[in-house]
Amino acid sequence: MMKFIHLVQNELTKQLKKVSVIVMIIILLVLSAAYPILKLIVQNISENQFYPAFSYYQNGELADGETYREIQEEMLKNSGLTDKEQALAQQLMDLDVDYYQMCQDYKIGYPDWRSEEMSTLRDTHMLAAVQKMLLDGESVEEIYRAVEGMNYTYSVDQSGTGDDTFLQEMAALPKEDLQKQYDENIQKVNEYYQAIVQNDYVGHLKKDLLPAANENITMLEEQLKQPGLEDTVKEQLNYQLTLIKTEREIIQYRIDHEVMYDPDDWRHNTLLSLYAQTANANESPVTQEEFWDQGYNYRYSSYEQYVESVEKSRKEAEDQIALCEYSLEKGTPMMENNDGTRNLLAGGLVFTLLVMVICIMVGGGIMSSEYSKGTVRLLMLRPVSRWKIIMSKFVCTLLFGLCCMAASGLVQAIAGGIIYGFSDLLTPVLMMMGGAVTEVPFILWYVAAGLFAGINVLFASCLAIALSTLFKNTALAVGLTIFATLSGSIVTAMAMDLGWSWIAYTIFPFYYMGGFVVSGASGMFGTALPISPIYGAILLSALSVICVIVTTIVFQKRDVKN
Amino acid sequence: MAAVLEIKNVCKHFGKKTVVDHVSFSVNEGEIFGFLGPNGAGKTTVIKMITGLIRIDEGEIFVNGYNVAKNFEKAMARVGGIIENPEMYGYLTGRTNLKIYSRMHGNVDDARFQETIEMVKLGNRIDDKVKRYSLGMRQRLGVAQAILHRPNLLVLDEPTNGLDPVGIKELRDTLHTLSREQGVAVLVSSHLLSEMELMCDRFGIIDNGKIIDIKTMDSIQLNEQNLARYHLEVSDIERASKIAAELIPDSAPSIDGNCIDLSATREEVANLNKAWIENGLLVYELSPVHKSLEDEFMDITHGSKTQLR
Repeated sequence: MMKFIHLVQNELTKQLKKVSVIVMIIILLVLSAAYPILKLIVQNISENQFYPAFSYYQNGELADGETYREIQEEMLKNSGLTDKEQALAQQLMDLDVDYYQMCQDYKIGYPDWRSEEMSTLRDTHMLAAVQKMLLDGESVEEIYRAVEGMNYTYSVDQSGTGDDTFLQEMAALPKEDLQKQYDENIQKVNEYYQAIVQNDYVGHLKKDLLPAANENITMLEEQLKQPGLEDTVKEQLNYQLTLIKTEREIIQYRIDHEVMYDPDDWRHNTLLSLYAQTANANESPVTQEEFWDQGYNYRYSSYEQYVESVEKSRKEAEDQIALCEYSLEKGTPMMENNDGTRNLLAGGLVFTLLVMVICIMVGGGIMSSEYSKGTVRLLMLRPVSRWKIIMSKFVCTLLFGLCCMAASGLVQAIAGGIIYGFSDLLTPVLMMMGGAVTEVPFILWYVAAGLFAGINVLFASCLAIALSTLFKNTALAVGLTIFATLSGSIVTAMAMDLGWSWIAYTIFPFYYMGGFVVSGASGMFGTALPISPIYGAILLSALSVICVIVTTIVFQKRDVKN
Repeated sequence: MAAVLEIKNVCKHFGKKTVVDHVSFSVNEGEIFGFLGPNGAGKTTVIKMITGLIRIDEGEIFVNGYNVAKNFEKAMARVGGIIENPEMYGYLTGRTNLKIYSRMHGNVDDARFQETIEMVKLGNRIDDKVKRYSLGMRQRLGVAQAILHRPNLLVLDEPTNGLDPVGIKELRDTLHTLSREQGVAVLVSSHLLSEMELMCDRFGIIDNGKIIDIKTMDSIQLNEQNLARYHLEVSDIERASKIAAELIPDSAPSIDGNCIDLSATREEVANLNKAWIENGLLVYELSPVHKSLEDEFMDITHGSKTQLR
């Protein structure tokens, strides 16, 4: 045993004194230390970048209000509308251009609650304008042509049918009712406008959004009470009802806890995620006919597989909802919703790929260089069995990889802690375990996640050493291993394009196990492939063991001829 | 005298080709055994089989009584070697290189480590990187790694390759010291015969994978006592050759300028010299043409297709 430790020590000595290895270690550590800083810089840049709620890019540059007007006027001129229709369209266009200008005047952009409300404001205003036209006695046909000619259909028509049904319906209303709707819309426009101009989010929530949600809920509930509804319609209404109820809860929570629209506030992020996941959790699969008609079959090999994947993402979404609710209730920020050290470290698992490259470099030359330099002869006439020599090389490379990962993680934690604060490291990670939300200490989670991500390092090292021993050629060993590991994303994407779902059972989708930890299987490749990270972990580990066994047997039997 | 290394009927095939064909010999304690043969005769293959680098197809090899194929670690425990050039890790210092090898033995303490460095006279260059060493220094480091763990069998494959005369002499002296003073058995292979002559007690000649002959150095030197060829230079070659022909009738002389080469016993040559001087001739040179290992070797491998370089 002592002798074996000495052998490993020898291998480490040989590797750690190589200039190439030292340079790679320095690069790894420098990047690890710079990673939190780089992330911060990138964040600052993107935060300072202005993405207006309404934008039109001409030759790669954001058009200002004046340019936008000219473009729209040009379009109007070439629309082939009659003068009368043009005059109607002009009214809608003026609104469009005004609100376009307003985004730039008030710096309304993403991410900002106002940017979300801007389209409601503009669309409501346009709808009101159309209603005014009807009240003024314009013909449905002319209005429709004006709306369609300038591509405003989907702004004005909130039912989204795309034809003039909505105009017909409005025209059919008694004049008083239409007038009432018009007045309500104008009032809504005024309220939204005031809220946006004053940037008064809480006021907007209380005065506008909460009542609107309540109203919607009452309306939907009434609709559901109507007798003789078709099942599909019922399903659709229930879906909307669930979403709006969630929205109301979120609004209420924001008001009660004064949660602003602020991406730096983890509660805000959690609420956004809660809403998105509620939508996912309540989505039901399309019917078999729709599956074929709407082109789903290009992404899924069969209808059953599609249904299965919808079911799977529904379950994932339900878990996420439970986690979000627990997080808000206990005041424990979830890692992905809180821009802190934990989130930074989780993203930093990507450094396992760099460690993998270093290990491929070390492992790919560990045996072949002994052959090419001739040192293998002096190595093997020692009173040491061959299997010990080859095993010491495996152990050395893996130990080296583990140390690199630990060192990188530690450097990231220190650099990240200095920037984002160390206290975040003490916040537990929330996980679903056996159907219940469980708090796991972050350090424990991080070590486990690191080891899981480290399976890539294990496999790459074992493969590189195996090829290095079998072919006695460093370049070949390194090249083939790089292909078998790092090309995974390209190969998987290509296979998905070709509809080869069997790619899910090869090593290729599992080139970065850390990705599964951070964003889950669906986050890596969507839901189209039946990819299981656990399967991947078992596959890679089993292949690593096979590499070790084959290499040991071959090395044990082979003559040293050079 | 106990046999440290015993090779019994060893064979090796590379594909259909038989590279080593029923080779048997043994090397005793305190003995330097030369292993001679032209390039490609199978010397290195035999040496690699002794050190476990190449598997043994047939036959057995024992080192200190342990079977190399079955009990490798014990058999190798007291073996040191240099196979072809002693290639080291060039980017490491000489000391680190030695440290790596010493860790693989387990019986090398610091005192022995230091002693070895002094023995091979690497001095303060031991802490330089090996890639900056001269060939001679590398060879000395190679010797150091071979003797570090006090082996009682040294296996050296072409150790004089590329060494200058000083280096060769150093190596020879080291080997003599080890075998005479510490009783180390040494197996040296070479195709440079003149070197072997000065180094070995016994030698085996291998050609085409077969041991052709095993001789002791003494038996060759004994031959020299009897009939040998001599090279002489005198002032008057005509008179001299006439006298020589009278004195030694079947001497098969060959004349070249003022020189004459002939075969004779020691006594006959001495008498010839005396006769020349009494006849007023000046004798400038009288030297034996060595009936040396090389000649023996040429005689033995005569007719073999392989050419000696």
